[in-house]
Amino acid sequence: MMQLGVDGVFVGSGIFKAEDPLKRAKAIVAATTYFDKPDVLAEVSAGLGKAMHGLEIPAIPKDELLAARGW
Amino acid sequence: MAERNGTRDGNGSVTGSFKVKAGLAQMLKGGVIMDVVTPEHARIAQDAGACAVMALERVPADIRKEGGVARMSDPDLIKSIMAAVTIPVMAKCRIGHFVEAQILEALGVDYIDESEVLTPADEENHIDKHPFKVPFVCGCRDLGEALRRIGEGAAMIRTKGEAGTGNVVEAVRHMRTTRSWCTRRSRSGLRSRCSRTARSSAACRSSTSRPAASRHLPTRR
Repeated sequence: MMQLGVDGVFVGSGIFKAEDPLKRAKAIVAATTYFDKPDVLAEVSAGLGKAMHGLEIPAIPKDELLAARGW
Repeated sequence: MAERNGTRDGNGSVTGSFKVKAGLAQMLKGGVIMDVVTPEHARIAQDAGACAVMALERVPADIRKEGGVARMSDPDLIKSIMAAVTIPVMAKCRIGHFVEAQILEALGVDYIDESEVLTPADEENHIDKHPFKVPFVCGCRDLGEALRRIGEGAAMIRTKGEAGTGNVVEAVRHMRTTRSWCTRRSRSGLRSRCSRTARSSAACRSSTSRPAASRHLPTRR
């Protein structure tokens, strides 16, 4: 997302639904700072434990999609 | 005009102007804002280097799982999180629920997220965010939606994504769409100064033709 041009990142469920929240939170902060340094990204992406389970978006019923709220 | 909706105190300084609101958004640049549901979470987020935390009762994944109506968090929870950390604390209110926003402002949160993650309270109207002194962040799927929110007074724009899925594909779609609309605007011969920040997007806004929106425009001098 940083490489796509955002100025910063909101992280929702991804940190405290992961196995090791502190480690993952630190990694996300480092990855946001060094978004254009793949060697740093490789380093901070390692050994984070399990990520949150996650959902396939097409599997979600249309009326449960949150992004469609508001106009 | 940059002082719009701000309040001038005895010394001539202005609080709550759009410039001040967007200024806090600028200060958060390059940082990560983390959803937290307890003061302990908030401290972990702060220790990990978060630039701000979002105080919630449930993270979006749980809101999605549990269903039902999702509302603003308990003020006691928000206060306990504000007491636990020194970084800015944001909190969510329902789309269009201006009273929840008034309560959050009274609590002294640093930013309000008028969020689609909570159950919308009004399907027609988002909150008129200009009268508030506290700044707002709102979600968007494309440039039009971003500009409608800025017209209503939002000082920061985020992509919506599909919250609580752990799946980035929608956030990428929304970012790509918003950026490509910006590019299209600048290619169409209009001098577009549109970028990711609310302040410059607001400048971009001035070249749109919707009169209702341009009424609220902070103009650059």
